[in-house]
Amino acid sequence: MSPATAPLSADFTALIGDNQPLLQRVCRMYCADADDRQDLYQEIVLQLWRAWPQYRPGAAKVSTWLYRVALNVAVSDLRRRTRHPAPGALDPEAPYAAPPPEGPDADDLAQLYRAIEQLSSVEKAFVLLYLEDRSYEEMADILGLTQNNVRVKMHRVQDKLRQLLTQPA
Amino acid sequence: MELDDLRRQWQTQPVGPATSPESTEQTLRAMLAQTPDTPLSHLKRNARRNLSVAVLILVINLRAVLGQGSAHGVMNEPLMRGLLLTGFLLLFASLIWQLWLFRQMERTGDNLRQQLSRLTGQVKQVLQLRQVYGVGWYGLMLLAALYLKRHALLSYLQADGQQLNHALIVGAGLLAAVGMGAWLYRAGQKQRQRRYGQYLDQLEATLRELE
Repeated sequence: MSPATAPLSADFTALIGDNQPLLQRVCRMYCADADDRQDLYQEIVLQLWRAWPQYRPGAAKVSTWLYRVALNVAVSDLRRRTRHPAPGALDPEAPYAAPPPEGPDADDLAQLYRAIEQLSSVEKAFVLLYLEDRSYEEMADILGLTQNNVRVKMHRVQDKLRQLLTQPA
Repeated sequence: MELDDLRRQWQTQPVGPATSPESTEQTLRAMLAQTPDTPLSHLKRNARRNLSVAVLILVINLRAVLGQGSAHGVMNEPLMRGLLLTGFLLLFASLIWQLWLFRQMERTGDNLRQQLSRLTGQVKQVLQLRQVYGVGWYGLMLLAALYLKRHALLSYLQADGQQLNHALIVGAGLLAAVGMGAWLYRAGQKQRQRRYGQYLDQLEATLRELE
């Protein structure tokens, strides 16, 4: 059945409505450009819609499942390469459209964002899950690694970020 | 500033206005109504189109494949019908397998490591499949040509006093055909590398990094 004509279950609509900020944060981590973010967001929603019938609540927490699908799309780069913005779809100016950092820490924050942008897609996945306050157990479940492995890699990513931050611009 | 400092701000980023379930549904419908324009969707569309063309060709040649009422005597020969049928079977099997692989590649509910290793394996399978299919078809065409020209070839090889020369010429011709096959194989490999190689390299590098 085509995605355009398929029935949208109330559960799925509620799931996307409730978790829109989470999905937007994933997009923000992977795309600096607003159009790219919009493309990625649409692709993630499409993949979630396709995967939704197979989701079993007992097998994984809904947040774990959402992160899995979103990161799989973002990291494995199955998304569109050319842009065709959806007429009437989510407003690109809507939430999390990368507002410029403000406040006393604005410069430091901007520098940190620039450092994160230099990380690989896998390293960004670690940073994202860390920023999202996910436990090592859930991170391991999302990424398919052991908790120890996650801990070690997380430390490496933090070290790399520190190095990037100390490098002259 | 470190990640811990950013973490405090990360989840409290500005949130847009709350949306009603109706507007969420409308937005979702608008998004899902779009034709996906991913590399994978292109591959799927191509494989579906090729399958339709193959079905059309089979329907057009159905009588010849079944050996009924062929205008040319050639197609009445069981070996030729067998080769044609094998070619079609090979084509259908390859296209259906490709479509199945592309569908599997769209599954995204696994963890990242499983997803990357599955995708890597599936892209490799698609490459191998096209390779095997190309070699298979070329081999079938070569066999068919040899079969059709078998009488002429045999009488040419048995010509009085010229056996050695003619055998050398036929040998050279066969060698050239095999060389041509090898060249086509290499060219196909290069084309596949151009089309999928970069994506495969990227997947493998990401998987290595994760492991």
